[in-house]
Amino acid sequence: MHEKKVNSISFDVSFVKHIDDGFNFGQIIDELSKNLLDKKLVTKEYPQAVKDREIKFPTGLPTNPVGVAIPHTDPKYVINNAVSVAVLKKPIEMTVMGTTNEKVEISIIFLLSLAQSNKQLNILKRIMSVVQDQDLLQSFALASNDEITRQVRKAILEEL
Amino acid sequence: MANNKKNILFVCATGIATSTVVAEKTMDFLHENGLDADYVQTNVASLPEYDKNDADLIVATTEVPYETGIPVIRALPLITGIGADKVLDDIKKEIEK
Repeated sequence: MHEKKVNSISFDVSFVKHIDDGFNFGQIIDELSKNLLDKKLVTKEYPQAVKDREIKFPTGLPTNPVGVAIPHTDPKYVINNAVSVAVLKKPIEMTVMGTTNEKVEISIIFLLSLAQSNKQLNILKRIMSVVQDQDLLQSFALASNDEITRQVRKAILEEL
Repeated sequence: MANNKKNILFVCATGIATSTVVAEKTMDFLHENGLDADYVQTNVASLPEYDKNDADLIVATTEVPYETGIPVIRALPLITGIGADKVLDDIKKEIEK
């Protein structure tokens, strides 16, 4: 409806985190949200909104061998588009998108902070292509945050 | 004959995120196959507003906990890439009906 083109999406090395063993989903979202809140990219309700929404609408993707989740929430909690990446030392169990009880082990979380205007962005499509690139995702476990940043930027931000 | 375009309802939790990806992939596929359809994206909570007169097919990345009388195809494979061809084929069959 609105042809407003918003080509801005925040992403740099501060949006990438390796997460140690022992963190649950909520703690991982809190961890990633700190940076988003610091940079005023999301509202203070955002972390809880993501957690609540994950319960109602799970986002685990049964990709193999690296399970990926793409949590996100209502655009009203997002001030500006951003993508954050968590690489988990040990996978956590999450629910498969579109199901209530199918489980999948998740090793990488792409936290999508999408404002309404994002509809015109191709960012999601590009993230999906990353989700399907298992070789790339497998390399994340041992890659530095800088290297992951470079790869994600290349994959999803280059042409924006 | 070709004027009788089918209507697809792309559904996800917000109506803007995964449904966008699924809609683009589906429409690209249909066009490549010489087919066309009208479509809208919506969030799953508004589905009870729809019935058979509004859409011929629902393509959803969420569960569809309502009985709308509209056939539902699960779109998760279009997000993961695993089994995507089968889903696109199922959609094609519905559109060609």
